[in-house]
Amino acid sequence: MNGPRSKAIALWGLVAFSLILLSFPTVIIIGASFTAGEIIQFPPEGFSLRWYEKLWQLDSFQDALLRTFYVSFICTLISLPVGTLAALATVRYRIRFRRTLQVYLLLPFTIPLVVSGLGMLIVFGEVRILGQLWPVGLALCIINLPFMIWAVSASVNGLDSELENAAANCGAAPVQIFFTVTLPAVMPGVITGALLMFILAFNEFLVSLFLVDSRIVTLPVQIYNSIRSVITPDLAAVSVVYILIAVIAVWVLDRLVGLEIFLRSK
Amino acid sequence: MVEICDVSKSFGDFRAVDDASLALPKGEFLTILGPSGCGKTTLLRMIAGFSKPDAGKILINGGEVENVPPHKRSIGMVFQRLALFPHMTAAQNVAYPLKMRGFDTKTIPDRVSEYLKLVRLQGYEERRPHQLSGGQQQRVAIARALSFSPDLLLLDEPLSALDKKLREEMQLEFRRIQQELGVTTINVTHDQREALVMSDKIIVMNAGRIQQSDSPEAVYRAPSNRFVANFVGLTALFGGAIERVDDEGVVVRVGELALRARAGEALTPGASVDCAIRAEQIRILADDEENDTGRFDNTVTGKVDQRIFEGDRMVYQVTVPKLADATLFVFDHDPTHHAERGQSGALKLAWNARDMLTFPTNP
Repeated sequence: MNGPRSKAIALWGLVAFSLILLSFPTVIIIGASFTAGEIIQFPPEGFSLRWYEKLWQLDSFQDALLRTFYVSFICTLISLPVGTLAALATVRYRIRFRRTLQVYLLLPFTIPLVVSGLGMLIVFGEVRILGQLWPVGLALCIINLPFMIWAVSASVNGLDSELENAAANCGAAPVQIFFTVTLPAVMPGVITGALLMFILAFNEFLVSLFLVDSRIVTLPVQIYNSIRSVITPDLAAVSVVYILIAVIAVWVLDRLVGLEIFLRSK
Repeated sequence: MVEICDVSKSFGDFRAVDDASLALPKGEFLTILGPSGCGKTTLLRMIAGFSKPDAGKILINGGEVENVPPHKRSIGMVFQRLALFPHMTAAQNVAYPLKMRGFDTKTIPDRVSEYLKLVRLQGYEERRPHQLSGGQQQRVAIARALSFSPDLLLLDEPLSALDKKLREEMQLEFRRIQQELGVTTINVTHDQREALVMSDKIIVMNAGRIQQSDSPEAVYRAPSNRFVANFVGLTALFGGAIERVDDEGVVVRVGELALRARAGEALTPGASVDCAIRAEQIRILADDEENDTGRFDNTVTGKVDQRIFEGDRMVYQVTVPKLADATLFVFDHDPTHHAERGQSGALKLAWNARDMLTFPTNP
């Protein structure tokens, strides 16, 4: 070992090793999904899209996918106003019990999902909304809301408090100030939070398991049910669909927020 | 136009504004000058409507504004951090108050370009704030504050973040625009030069109280108390006692010397006073030069403690043993002497009675 050159080689080696290790499961799954054989294996046996074809033709998969989209949509829809306003209120205004409220809103994150799931099951059962799909979205919104609040809070913290005074000085009434100045200014956080909520709801398994039955099964639960019987390469194909959706989300985030942050930078 | 009557404001135990009163006629440019924490910004924010006075009244156009929310007051404001809307272009920023105040949408584009022209920003309409330089952002903020023709313009130290050269340029720019439009303006600053350059009238504040309210020249030449004399200009202050009062002025005993000073407020012999003398009023006499002709009323000899080079001049900080070790400040504008003076240590100084002020010492 001598000089900065060998140090650079060692560092780059470490980075490359880490990257390979991190992407290993993903690469294997993607590879395995294109197999022409009957079992999941890596390297794949030949190349074909037959498992994607099979997946697409499977009604249960299509239905589960649509339901998952619906649940994620409901979850995101509820979290948008709730999370945004909660973040603005707890960061911005000197309201009473501010600290307590902040901790309370972050609480769902600290409770084991099994406990949350069981709790929701009991509550939803009591109010007779079990067996419907939208309560699943609501439940996922409740357990993941801290992420939305975190994302928006980061934007609110970076907000110049004088902007709202400036808007008032320009003649804007409080409601106008919110829609024309405050909301656009915290938009990067709102977009980040919304996409995060969507992806988290899309992937959520444990709480969903408590709340869905065979008629309204969502995709993560569907996958779980499948691996309990036979592991076939269509599971790998489902996983790739998941990866694809995650990649799309990151791309959207980069396009919307990356751009927005760039525009905001001084 | 603007009238402030006995306004006070406290934050907890801290009295930010203490019984302040002022009246500003239409079209005038007033500067509130004072060190940070003197209450000048608090006063300005109460006029804008962002906070309410604990006591007293604020009248704008003859009407009390206590219950008028900020967005219903016809006041344009340039904020210290400018507070331009980052997600809007320069033109959108200037158009914002017009939209919010319900101007006819057909007239808005014309008004926007008229005011961007006024601040000399044509061609920058579509830029966002972060794509503009500090001076250009300043101009957008001015245009935004003025585009709806407010009755009153407030400036909250908007120039303090700029570098010296740009700041001096913008001072003249503000003055030009203010005179072109004739808009009544209240400016807040801690920069005495800015106050002197821009204003029709200056109010000097300290510790929440108004110290003096006068024209820039009067504030500089006839400060009303020790604080104003010290805050505006480079002033030496030292304590003394009145020895006698005669037709030509007063004689003050300081240390071993008796100095002649301008006749001030009713002073009785024996009263202790603060003496103030500005750096530019003190002449430096050559070593062999005697004050035999009586050109100057007072002469002293001191020792140079410090020499501060300011480019166009040298500032000497001089201790005078016979004046009970009082410290004087002197400007030396003649570069040929810079090297020798201060090396030798001793300096002979002289000034006239009319340039030396006395203020009764605060009990």
